[in-house]
Amino acid sequence: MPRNTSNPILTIVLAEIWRAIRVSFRGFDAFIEVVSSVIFILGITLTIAVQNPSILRDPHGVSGISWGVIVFIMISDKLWILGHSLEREKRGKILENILATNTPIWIHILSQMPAAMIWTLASLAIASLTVFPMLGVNPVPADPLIFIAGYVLSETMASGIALTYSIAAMIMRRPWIATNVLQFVLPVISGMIPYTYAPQYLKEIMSVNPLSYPIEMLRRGATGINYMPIDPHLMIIYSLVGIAVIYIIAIALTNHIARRLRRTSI
Amino acid sequence: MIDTMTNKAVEAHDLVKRYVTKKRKGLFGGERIYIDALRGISFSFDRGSVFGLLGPNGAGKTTTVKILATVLTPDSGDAYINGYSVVKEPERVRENLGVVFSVDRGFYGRLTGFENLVYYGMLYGMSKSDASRRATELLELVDLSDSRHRLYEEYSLGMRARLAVAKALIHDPDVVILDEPTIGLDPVSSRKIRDVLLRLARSGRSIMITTHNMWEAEIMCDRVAIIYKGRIAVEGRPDDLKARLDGRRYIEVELLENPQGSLNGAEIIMSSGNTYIARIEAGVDIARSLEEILKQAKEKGLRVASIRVKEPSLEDVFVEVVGDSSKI
Amino acid sequence: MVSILAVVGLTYLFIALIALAGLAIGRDPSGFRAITGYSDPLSYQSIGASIVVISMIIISSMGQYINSASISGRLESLLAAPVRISTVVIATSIPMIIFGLITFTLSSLPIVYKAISNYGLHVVLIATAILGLGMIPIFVLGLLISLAIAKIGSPIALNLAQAVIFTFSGSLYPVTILPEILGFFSKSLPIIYIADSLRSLLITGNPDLGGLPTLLLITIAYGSIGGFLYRRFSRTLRSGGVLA
Repeated sequence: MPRNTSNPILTIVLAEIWRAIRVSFRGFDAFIEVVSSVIFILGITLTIAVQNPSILRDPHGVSGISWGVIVFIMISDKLWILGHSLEREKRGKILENILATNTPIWIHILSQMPAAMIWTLASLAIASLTVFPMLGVNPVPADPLIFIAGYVLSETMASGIALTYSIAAMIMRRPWIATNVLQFVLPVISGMIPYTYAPQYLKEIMSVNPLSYPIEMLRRGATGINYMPIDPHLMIIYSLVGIAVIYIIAIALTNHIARRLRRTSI
Repeated sequence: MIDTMTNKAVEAHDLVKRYVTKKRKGLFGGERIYIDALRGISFSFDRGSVFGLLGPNGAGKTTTVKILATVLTPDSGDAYINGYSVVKEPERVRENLGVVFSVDRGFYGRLTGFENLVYYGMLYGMSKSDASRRATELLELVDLSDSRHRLYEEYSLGMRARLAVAKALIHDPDVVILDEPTIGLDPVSSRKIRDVLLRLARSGRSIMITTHNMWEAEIMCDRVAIIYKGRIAVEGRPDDLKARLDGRRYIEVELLENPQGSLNGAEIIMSSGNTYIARIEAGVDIARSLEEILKQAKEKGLRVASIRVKEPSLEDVFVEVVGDSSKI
Repeated sequence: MVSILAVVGLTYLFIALIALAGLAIGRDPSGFRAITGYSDPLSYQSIGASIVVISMIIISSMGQYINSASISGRLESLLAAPVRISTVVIATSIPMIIFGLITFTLSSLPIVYKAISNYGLHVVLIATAILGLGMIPIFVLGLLISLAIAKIGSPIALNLAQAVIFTFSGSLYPVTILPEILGFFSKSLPIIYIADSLRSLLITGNPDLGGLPTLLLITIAYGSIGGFLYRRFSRTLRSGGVLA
């Protein structure tokens, strides 16, 4: 019977996206998860800002920190949702059912990206209505176009990194330890702290970290302030090239691991 | 590729599979351990038949299933599903094969039974509408129509097993392989699964099950193979395998007193209160054997509650081939 | 052992990142002193971070207590055993508290060492006693959350609990910078009293035990509510059955 669609790969992609959204947003869990993220945004922002209390009275300062925290939430979400998906599905015996079909594993994992993006977007929306006014931050992006482009590119790149990480998480004995470390380290080296305020060694790391560029775009679009001394067109080019490279590596690695799984068993 | 006009649903040729694992020593050390799961197994069965792969735990049944399902590659050897090689043409194999790896997992708890089936249908390249239609038919077949909109995480084990069978059929494959499909199920649920499988076999589908429920294999399978320590010990029709026991039959006598060696060749196989069941190997002439036993019982003053002739079972074959559990 | 090391390592990483962020925005000790009474944000937040991490782990472990016991089949065995569930729960709390004490000491080692040098060992011993006492209501809070999870049927409530602990515990910053109503909510959590007492002891050497009566009251309140709810829950389980 089976293949009665003209484009089976498109059917698979749509099936996976549909499944991921349905699983992620069924019941109250998604709402509680989003509310938790928003509360964390408030907590982490204040934890950082309280070290220089005068910043609490400076909307630009608080804004810069808040967007850094949102970067942290965005990356953390990807690492836990996408990054642990293979490991979760291996435990739940779903992975072998997937391997028994002709679905490429990288599509299976990446298809969760739209659901993860909606998740972060929902956190952002609720934070804009609750936490931002509390902190005196203007929730309206200064440049919506650059903000949206930065958001989409950041999410895409972070998802690619999470896809690569998912392979490691599946193999490790205690992946939660590595994820807990990575969810802090990765945002810090990717622009959680605005470039202007980062120590020199961190600036150098950020200059070679491709994820810094879409995050800089996101921050510029949100605050209207240029933190990183880089031309906007270059920023877009670096972002796109970074995404391409990350995805090529991620897909190649995922295909390799799928072949290895078939050799050594799940 | 082997001839797709072959009348064989599944053919396995000299499948070998070795696992490498690590025995941990201390915090960082380890010692490599090799486990020969399959040591060159070969078997086959015809289209439209039911085949059983029997074996104790750790014999290599699940490894065999995974290789046939292309989830695992053999170290050497090959297998053919409907004529397609699992090594060289895995994509074609997946299109022709439905598989149940585990009856209690493998689905998304947050999706309903219906949604899970539609999802897997789409992964096999079906359009959403066709997958939905097919899912509805299959839920009817496995008697889950009433629970189609309940979340998988709310399903009982019996319901999960039936859903797993439905999922294996979602893309209408010619060959279906099920790894211990009735394990842990109550008799009613087990019967439901067996009925579905037998109905499928009658409709022309080729079915392979792995099990260590001998009675189930005996009533369902046209052919069986017993796998033990990675090798096929015997293969054939259940009746032919039973005949290997040299026509050995037993007479089981239910006595109301302990025979205590009074009956020649009797082995007490069960006792409960004042009831004892003794088993005696019957001779070629069953009638004469029965007569002899009753005569001995009368002479020794033993009261006989019942007597029956027991034909050799697949379990007897299994035990004969595999040995008793202390050797395994 | 691995778990203790992992938790300690994560705590130090967390503290390092807070410190890095502080370096980036430029710390203002005098401004900090004006709102907290302490001039060193790093010490203040290091102690807070250790308490927050331990609290989150205890909440997480105990929060999944009923759920994981139900899934593994242990819960029914417990109900069928002659031992009371409350006895089992109390017995479970002891290793948890020991874990918390060890983890706090290791993750605040520089501060503990400095406190011993400046004020003497007795200060650290008092701090340990306060922390041990303070972990009881946190433990009970975890059990209350596990009841909520058993009721909802999903462990998602844990994420919310951890977010609340992190943001409203008063460990990482004074609750006075929160809006009044949220600050009031913070005061109903036990952690703020533990954090204040420990900071006072380990940083200044002066025991600020003003919050202890409130901490004791909260412990009694949580314990009473917890005991009542658990008895009810146990009756419900026996009449309605354990759902895996």
